[in-house]
Amino acid sequence: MEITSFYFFCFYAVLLFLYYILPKRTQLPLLLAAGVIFYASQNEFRDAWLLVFPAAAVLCTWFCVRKMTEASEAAAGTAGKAASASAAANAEKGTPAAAAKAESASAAAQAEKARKKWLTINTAVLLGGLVILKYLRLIYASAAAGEESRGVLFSGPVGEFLSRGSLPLGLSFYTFILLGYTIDVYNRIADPERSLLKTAVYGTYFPLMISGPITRYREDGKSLLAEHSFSYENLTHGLQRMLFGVFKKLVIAERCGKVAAVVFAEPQEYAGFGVWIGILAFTFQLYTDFSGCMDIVIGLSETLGIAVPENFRTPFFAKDISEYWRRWHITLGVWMKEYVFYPLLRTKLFTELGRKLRARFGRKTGKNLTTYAAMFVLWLTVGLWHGGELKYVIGSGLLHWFYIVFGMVTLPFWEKLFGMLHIPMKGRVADGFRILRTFFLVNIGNTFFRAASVPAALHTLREGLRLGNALPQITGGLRSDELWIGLEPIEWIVLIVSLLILLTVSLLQQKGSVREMIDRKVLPVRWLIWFALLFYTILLGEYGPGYSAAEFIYQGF
Amino acid sequence: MTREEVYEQLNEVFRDVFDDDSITVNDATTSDDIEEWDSLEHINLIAAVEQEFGMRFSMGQVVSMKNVGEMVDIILSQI
Repeated sequence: MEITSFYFFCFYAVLLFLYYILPKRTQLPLLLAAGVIFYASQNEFRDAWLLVFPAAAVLCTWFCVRKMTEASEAAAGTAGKAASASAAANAEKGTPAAAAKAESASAAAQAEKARKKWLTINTAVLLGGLVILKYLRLIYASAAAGEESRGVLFSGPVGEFLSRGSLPLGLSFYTFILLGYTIDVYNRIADPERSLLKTAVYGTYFPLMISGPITRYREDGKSLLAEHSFSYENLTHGLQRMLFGVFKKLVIAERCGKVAAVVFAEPQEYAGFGVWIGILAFTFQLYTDFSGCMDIVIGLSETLGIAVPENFRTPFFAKDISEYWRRWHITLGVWMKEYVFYPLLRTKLFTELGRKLRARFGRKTGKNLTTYAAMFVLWLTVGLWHGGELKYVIGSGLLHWFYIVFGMVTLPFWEKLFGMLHIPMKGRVADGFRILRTFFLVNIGNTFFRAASVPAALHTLREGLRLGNALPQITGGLRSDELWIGLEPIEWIVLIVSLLILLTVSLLQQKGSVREMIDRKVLPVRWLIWFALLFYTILLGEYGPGYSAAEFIYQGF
Repeated sequence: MTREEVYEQLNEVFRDVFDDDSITVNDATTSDDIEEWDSLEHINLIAAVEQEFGMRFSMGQVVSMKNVGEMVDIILSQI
């Protein structure tokens, strides 16, 4: 069941109706049941058995968190006894109060040990599931190239499963969501959840399993697990947001996808300018596809009264790559920062490394070098998370690491250059230049992301630099039904107009919520805007009977 | 050590880390108030504060403290 398919909207309408018509206490079981149906419906119910993976992840997390809580409570109980023993000792004089204190300290140490053990077990189970399921498939794919080298491991049912290439829906997402929750409980910044039902709903809330966002229990758990009353405002705002998401996905992303497909298939045919149009088209495809999906997910949640964190904040307005990642897939960035980057920098290894580098290269350079090293591990992880293939490791990982490090190292150069040109570093001109530079760099990374392989990406970029055929023929004899880089001329007009609508909305978003701006208009104008968008999407969306939009690109991760 | 004394030392640490002698922090100061205070500098700041006061923040405290006031509370509870 694709999220833009007719069946999904029917499924959603039934859920919405039952959600508010049934007693509130049934909302969580209903969400769980909806999740089970949604999971099971993938691949036309052929892979329903894959449900055992999220179910096992939830059960293990619930059990380990419970054990962690029991350990803390047992230690607290001993400490309580020690306190009363100490009070009694004071009263009686002579009872060994010190012994009671020592007992309490040893109980606390034991509890910490037990908590760490359960955290380790859960981390191993969750990450083990992710690594085995995701990366075994990759090993299989590369082994499949040489039939005879597959060996025993990939024969029989395992091989059959891997050859189908199915993965549990939202594998990376529920793994990260549950892992973050367990770590926060261990760090005592999140309250442990005692209910298995609530753990299950929190860990596998189905809209998030498509492409995120990645929630954090201490921030988002409360809203997700609370009982919600019907609100007209939530319903209309949510539906409006969903409509905008469908517009992005069906009107823009699908068209951009066609352009990108022809260019990346045969870049030599579009050498020069055409290649750059293809790369740009893919960047807009990725953005509108992914952020459109987020609009649908966040809007759908809003209609259910559930607040889900934002995952995008007009990323192409970022002035450098670090800022770009604070605006693109925001929740992944936050997750990586909290659970990979910070803990890594606080390990003994990195503390020691930092100390040595500072002693050798001075305070500032030493500090920077340590950060670069930790960032390398971070970006390698981000790249691997996007898929184990080298093209993702480079395009979504290490290339961005290089950009950030290069940007930090060359900052004095840019400051000097701008100074010589008498352009203030924080002025409009410099900002404009930095935004364009960042956008260009992101496009290069996306070329790796989209191309079939690293050599194919390099080939595409080389073709882009060939000037022989600078502009694909557009004048003279182009018939209206003839394709120009994958689209008919009229389709190009629709695409460009739609991108301008998106740009206008993005610019308005810099000033606040666009939905609230529309809310302030008089009723006829309000309705005109929403109905215009609705009909525009229905008429111009790449959508029709029996048509199911291509899977969201990010669903694969 | 009093809260004021902690602040005196803490201001020095902030000025040093962010390379800006005009910084003066108070209970309500957050990362939004200091332009350079991003996620990268946050961890450097934490390390610098730990070194200055001879204490250690827990991982939970590193990611969950909301303002400088909370940071000072933690420092005072550990020295």
